[in-house]
Amino acid sequence: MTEGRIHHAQFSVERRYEARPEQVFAAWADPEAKRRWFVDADGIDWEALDYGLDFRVGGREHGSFRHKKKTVHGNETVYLDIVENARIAFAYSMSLDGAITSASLGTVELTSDDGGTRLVYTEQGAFFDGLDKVEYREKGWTALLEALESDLRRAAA
Amino acid sequence: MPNEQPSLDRVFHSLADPSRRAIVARLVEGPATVSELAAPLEMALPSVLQHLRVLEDSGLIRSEKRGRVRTCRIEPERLSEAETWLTEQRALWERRLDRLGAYLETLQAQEKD
Repeated sequence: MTEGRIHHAQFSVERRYEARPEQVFAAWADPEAKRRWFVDADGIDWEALDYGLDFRVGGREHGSFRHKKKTVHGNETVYLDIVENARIAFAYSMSLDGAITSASLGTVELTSDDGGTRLVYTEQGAFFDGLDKVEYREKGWTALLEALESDLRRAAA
Repeated sequence: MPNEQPSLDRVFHSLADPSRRAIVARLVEGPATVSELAAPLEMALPSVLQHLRVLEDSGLIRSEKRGRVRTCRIEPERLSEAETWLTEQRALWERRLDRLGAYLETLQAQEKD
């Protein structure tokens, strides 16, 4: 494919939690709480090499994770806007063995919903080429099926 | 914005059936004949062929007939590189937000104790 191409894409993921917006917000804001669901629950295939969160506007979050004792996936985030219990906006890049693969704008919106919280995560991303390999296509399919299963489980619940 | 999203919606729609997902999951591993695809599915051959037609119409798979044997394969180009990124990225956040849900549930359980 042509070198230097950039692909743009957007997606949203929505969830409803049986918890108040303050509790959901705290799970993003408190470094220990965030680490519990964002890093530690990743499973045995992932080893956290490094993780840190400075949750304030202008603050950074960084992580690097080794997958199946091989590739190292990196995550560099800057928080752009924070409205307590309502909104979080951040910019982040992802890397694979040191090469930046994507740069994204992510937003988290929290709204009260009948005693619970509705969360909408929206991401606008720029994906850089260089990973046009069959394995990645296959990973895409697997990810697609996983996402679909998860959608269906929720629809059935 | 480019039009990745509507295309992805079509993909999701055509996969909104457990038998068709089973077929795609099998084909991701490599090409298979119609009878190989039908074997694990507990349904009559005409129903299997109908599912294959839906998948083929959506462009997810293609098939070719040689003699009396029809072989199906996944159409990897159907998922463009950008869509691969999109599906992976979306699945990543699906998993993360599910884990956030599990974490919040343990908090709620602790509160009740």
